[in-house]
Amino acid sequence: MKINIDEQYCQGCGICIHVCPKNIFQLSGKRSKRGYLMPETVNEENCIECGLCEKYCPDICINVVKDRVKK
Amino acid sequence: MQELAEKYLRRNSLPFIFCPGCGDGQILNATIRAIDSLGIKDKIACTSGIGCSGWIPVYLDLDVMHTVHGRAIPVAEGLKLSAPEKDIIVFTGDGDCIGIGGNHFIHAARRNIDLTVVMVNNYIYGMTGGQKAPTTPLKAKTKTSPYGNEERPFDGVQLAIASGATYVARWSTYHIQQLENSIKKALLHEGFSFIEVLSQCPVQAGRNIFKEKDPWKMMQIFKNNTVLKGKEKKGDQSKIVIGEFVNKEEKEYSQYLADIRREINEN
Repeated sequence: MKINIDEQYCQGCGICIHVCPKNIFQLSGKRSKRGYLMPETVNEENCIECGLCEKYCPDICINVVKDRVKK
Repeated sequence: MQELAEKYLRRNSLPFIFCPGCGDGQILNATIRAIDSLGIKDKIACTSGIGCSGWIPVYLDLDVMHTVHGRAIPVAEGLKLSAPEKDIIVFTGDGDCIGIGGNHFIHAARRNIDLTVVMVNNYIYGMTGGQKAPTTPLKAKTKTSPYGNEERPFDGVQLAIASGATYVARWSTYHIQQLENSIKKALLHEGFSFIEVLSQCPVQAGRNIFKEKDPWKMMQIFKNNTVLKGKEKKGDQSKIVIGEFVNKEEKEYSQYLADIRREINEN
């Protein structure tokens, strides 16, 4: 389980912070190279892989890498 | 970067031109998911008009065309008649579709030509600085109506129903999964499909109309001010009705043309 946020494309709108049911995203206070306030992930092991952050992201830059083996 | 984005987006035109938190990116995201789940990437072609929403298909690595203001639907009609095997998605904004291109829109709906029109309704002309649009609510203050908008707004869904569109739906960017399913249905539907998407514009509409600059709070406004079709109270005009309004089968325009062509050749 790994949640990747692409710094190159994220514009720091903060929708992922609110949309996550497990509150995995939070504002980091760091700025990306383009000057946007970046979100960061905490307690990634709580992720239930609902995919809402992927679906709601306007910059299509969040990727939830699932490590479950497909049967 | 998502795997789907790597498959469907032009890497050299990224990053997006949209403002942070713009709903256009979410609509692009939902469209990519809908196309991918149907597996018809090679059959899709897109056109778009002018405005922020005109930039949605520009990033797609498909056959796309960025046309003139209000004329996205006529270009798509010509494309459909010359290449009937294509599934065409038209991205237009509210000013583009029912403002300057209103006549093209109602006549395309009357012909029942097989297009999927996604109208992004952000209640304002966002790209040019926040002038009032045909969908701006009554009494809303904008740059060109500083004492409140004195004109009643247009309802795109009712206009499409009255013009004879055979698939009509309205969703918002908060209802992203329903929007994805609706785009999927509209792509499979034979005939004129119209989807209105209430979208947040945190920069212009947020500042002027909703008095709320946070994209998530604007999405909450859409959540709280909408009611699903069939669950609305009678006579209650305060909430916007969302859902699927029309889904019926009727003969499509290019089939009429094919019939006429066959008759002429037989005689």
